[in-house]
Amino acid sequence: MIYSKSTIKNISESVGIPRLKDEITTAMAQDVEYRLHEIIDEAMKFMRHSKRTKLTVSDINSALRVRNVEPIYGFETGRPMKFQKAPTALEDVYYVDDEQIDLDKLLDEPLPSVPLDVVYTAHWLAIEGVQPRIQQNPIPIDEDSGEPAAKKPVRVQRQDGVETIPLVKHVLSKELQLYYECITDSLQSSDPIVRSTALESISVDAGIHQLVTYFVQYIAVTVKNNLHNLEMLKMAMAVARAIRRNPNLFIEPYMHQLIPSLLTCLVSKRLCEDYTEDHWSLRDGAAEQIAEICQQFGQSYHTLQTRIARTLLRAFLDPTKPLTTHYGAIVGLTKLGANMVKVLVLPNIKAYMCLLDVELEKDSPQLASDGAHCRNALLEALRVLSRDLEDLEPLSINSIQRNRLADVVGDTLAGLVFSEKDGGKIMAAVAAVSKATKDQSQ
Amino acid sequence: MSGKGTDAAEDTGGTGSAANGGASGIGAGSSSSNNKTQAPPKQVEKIVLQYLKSKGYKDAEQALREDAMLEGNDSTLGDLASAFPASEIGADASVPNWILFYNEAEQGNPDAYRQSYRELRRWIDSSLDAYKHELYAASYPIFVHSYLDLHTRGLHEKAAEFMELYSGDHTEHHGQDIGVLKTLTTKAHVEENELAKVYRENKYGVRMTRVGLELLLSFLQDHEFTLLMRAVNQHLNIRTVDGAVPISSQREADVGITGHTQNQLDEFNRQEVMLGSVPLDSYVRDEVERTLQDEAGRADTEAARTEASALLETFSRVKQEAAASALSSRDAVPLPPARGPEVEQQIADLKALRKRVALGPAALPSVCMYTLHNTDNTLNCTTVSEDLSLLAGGFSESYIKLWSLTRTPLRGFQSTIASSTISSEEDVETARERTTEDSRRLVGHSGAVFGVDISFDSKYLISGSEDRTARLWSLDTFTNVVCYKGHNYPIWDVAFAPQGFYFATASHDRTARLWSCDHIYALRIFAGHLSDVNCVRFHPNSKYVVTGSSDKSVRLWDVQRGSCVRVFTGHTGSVDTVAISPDGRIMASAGEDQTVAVWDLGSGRRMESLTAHTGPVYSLAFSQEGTLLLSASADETVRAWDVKRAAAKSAEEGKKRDAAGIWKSKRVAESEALLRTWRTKSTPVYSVMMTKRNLAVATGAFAL
Repeated sequence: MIYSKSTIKNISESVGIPRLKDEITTAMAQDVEYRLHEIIDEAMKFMRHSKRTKLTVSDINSALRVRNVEPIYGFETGRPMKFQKAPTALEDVYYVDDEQIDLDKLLDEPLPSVPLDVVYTAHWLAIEGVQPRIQQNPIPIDEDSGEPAAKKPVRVQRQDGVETIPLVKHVLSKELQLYYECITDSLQSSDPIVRSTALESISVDAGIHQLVTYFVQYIAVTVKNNLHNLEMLKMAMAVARAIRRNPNLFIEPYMHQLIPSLLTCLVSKRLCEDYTEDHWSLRDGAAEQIAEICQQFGQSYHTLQTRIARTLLRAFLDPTKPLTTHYGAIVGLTKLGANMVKVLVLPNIKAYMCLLDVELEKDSPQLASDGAHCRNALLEALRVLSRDLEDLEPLSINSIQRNRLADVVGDTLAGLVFSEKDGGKIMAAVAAVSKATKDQSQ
Repeated sequence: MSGKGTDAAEDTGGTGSAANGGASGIGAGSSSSNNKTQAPPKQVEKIVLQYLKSKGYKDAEQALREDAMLEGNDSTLGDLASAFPASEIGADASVPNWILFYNEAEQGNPDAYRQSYRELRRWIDSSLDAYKHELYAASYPIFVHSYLDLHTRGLHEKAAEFMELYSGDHTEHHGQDIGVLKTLTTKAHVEENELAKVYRENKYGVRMTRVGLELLLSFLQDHEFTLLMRAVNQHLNIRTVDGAVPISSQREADVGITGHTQNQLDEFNRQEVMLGSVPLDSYVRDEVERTLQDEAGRADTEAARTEASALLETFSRVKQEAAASALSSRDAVPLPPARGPEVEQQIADLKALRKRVALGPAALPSVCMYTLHNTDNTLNCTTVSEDLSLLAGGFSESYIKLWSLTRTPLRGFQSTIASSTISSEEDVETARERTTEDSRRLVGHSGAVFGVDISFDSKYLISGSEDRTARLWSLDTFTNVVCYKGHNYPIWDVAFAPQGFYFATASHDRTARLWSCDHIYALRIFAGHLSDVNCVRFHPNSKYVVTGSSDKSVRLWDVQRGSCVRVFTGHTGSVDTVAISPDGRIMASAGEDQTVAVWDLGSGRRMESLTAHTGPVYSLAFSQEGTLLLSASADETVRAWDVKRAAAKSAEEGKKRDAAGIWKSKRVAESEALLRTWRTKSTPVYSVMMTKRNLAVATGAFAL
């Protein structure tokens, strides 16, 4: 029985019939169940004729209407009902969650937007019996097993034994698999011409959209496994740049998988075997790519740039991080634009320079070289700032200005600025910005 | 509206007690004894007295009479005795039964059988679809025994009246037996008739579900239909089964009387049908020939000339073929005299025939899919005009929407149009609306629109709605032209005849109706389905109409006579769609049970049941040659089936196969006849059709 006797009794009490005989409750319970079946049976007909497989409130109302019963008003909604549970001592009671609506507020609200009009689109479901592989048709199903082929991910073998299992389920044609293997082999070749040809191919080929996910994965795996192999890392960055440059590829959905690899190449502690190697250019390149991505997709993902900036700032301000990481963070922020420098870098330069000075006092050639790079990076940041505020008159280079500058950026950096050709401009920019900030804070 | 609900309320009030009542076997004894022990003791004594009297125990009778002080009741007893001959008690009623099922009111009433059977019938009619079949099957032996009882009681006129009233219920399945039983006129006949003896001396096997049986018994008890109850107790052998009782179980061994031929449906299905094509109207034939010759004569280039002469050739071939299979014009359905459109249509058909792609298992069709977006589950039905110029959809929100598939604007007429200003074709054009919209709404119904169909010439659209009306819309002016009222319940489906002019509606009121566009009342009412008629389609020659119903059967109706000529049973769920091949020989039906059944219309036999769909099937379409069948389903696929293979296979297996077994054994696997499956992206496919050129067109509403 759907309805227990106690339910019937409860209901009868609620309508003012205190003691119902037992037989009557039983009969009622059974009859109510039968009536419900009848109504549902009828409602199912309406559901079927509306070509739906889900029963809705309107079906029940149609069924009631067709049986000459007053429909139940107030429940008709496009959204499914939410039932709430209210535990009681005996058993749980379920009720429809009915939120109160403030009519005044409702009246003040602007009208909801007009629902979209019903429109049709046409496509070929089959051409002479064969389903074309176009966007409107679903991914074909493996006919032999009857199972979607995508369930068995295509495994792509790499030369050095690293196995890439694509995260996204795809069915790759034989040709594409061959192409992918050929490209990844060429990328590792020692011949720079072969390498550049492979990259060239990635950056212009129109038919490799299905491979994007594999390339993104390839970049991620390469970066992860070759953290100290500068050549490999540079190659991975080149691949990233190539797929981004390809006008035929739609890489927006893969951006989030690509960014971690780029960030690694930007702020990682060590990216080479020997500190004398030129990992700085790798970092510069990665910073540039990140900046480009932010510019390209900033419109559609407005939190993207802030999130990256926050990550970089954290790296920049953490004194426990090595100078290489700091360098990456500074370069990254600088590339994100003058605004980032203004807001995030400039207020912290002085404190950072103190830290840098302390580090530089330690007698280590590596630290000295890293520190110099950092200083140059900061100088570059200030220069970006000055370029942004181009219309300012360059200040004359004198000791008063120098002291003012030192107030903001620290003595060491002020000295460096002084020795630059465009020192006057930089000083003017810094002065303008710090004045603006002061005004604001006042 | 006569309250269907209130009927049901009276009839099935007794559902409750069924749950406690005897469940296994017949169970009547135990549960009804509760009823009867409460009867006044005098009545029991009377019965016992009559029993003693009939047996000739005079002393005992006398003693009881004295003890119970029943004197003066002689006359009543006499009546009783005459109303119920003693011989019957001795012959086939066991004494306990006789006592238990005694109802004085019924005994004295010669109309008791008719009244109680009528009630039973009405109750079955209003019961749930799930149990309707088994109850219907069980009502047949009750019917027969009521009839025979009336004869044995000497109430011959009442018996004849009873037979006259209710024999119609059972003619499809038991036509032969009914025919024989009808001839009985005296008690002596009943005693000596072979068939009557078969019924009297054997128990009639019935399969019922537990719930169905309980419903039946409690109904009979609650209404004290003891006469019927006795028939059930004495003459029925009920086996309870778990799960649903398939219709096809009508043919199983333990149903009916063992050894007696039960399969009288085949006999019913042997009625003659004429499946030939429509004879070509002589006016149309001459006109088409003339036009084609004109064209050939006027042709400037060589290519155009050969084209025209090729058309002429094709036409003469078509003529020959048509002549071979056509009905005589006397048999054909009358149509208004042909005018321009028919000739144009014929020529267009010829051109299409020339361009037709030959389809077969090796050459599958192209399928063009029209996907509707933003419908928000309110789209109920779609149809595409034959010339692929229009797409129409019926919505829950009472309107019909039209889209131009050629993207030409749909322009009606300005409201200021006056007939006096129209003198040429240009005037008509200038009187049209200036709109550039390529879609339009047709507003007029006051309930969800469940069926739409466009006429062959794309000039009219017919729609059927929850508001119980069908409406005819002009696709020239985009206005409602006629509103057809007649159905008492929502209309589920509408269909135009292939030659236009006639249309048919299928309704929740269990009837399908035939209408002509120029009459506001139905010309024929096809009644006979036990439940909602879900779909209706015309035979290509317009002489027959096929309907599919929630009672899990498909029927073929003769349009002219208005009678049913074929019943196709075997589906295990309601039938939601039917299609007939263009040559008019093969019919396919499908629905809720996800199985497509292919039938031979001539013999009424099932050729094959095709399984593979995993959702209700919404639509079916044959290719023009009738070799391929396409099915569209809620499982978001369109599938193609090989009709020939299905037919060949069934011929191989022959008649010996167990008709009922097929459904069970095949359900799991995909049928071999499945040629191809085309999936859509989360779009249940609402309809599929084939153009004259063998291009398949499918429509569906994208659902998130």
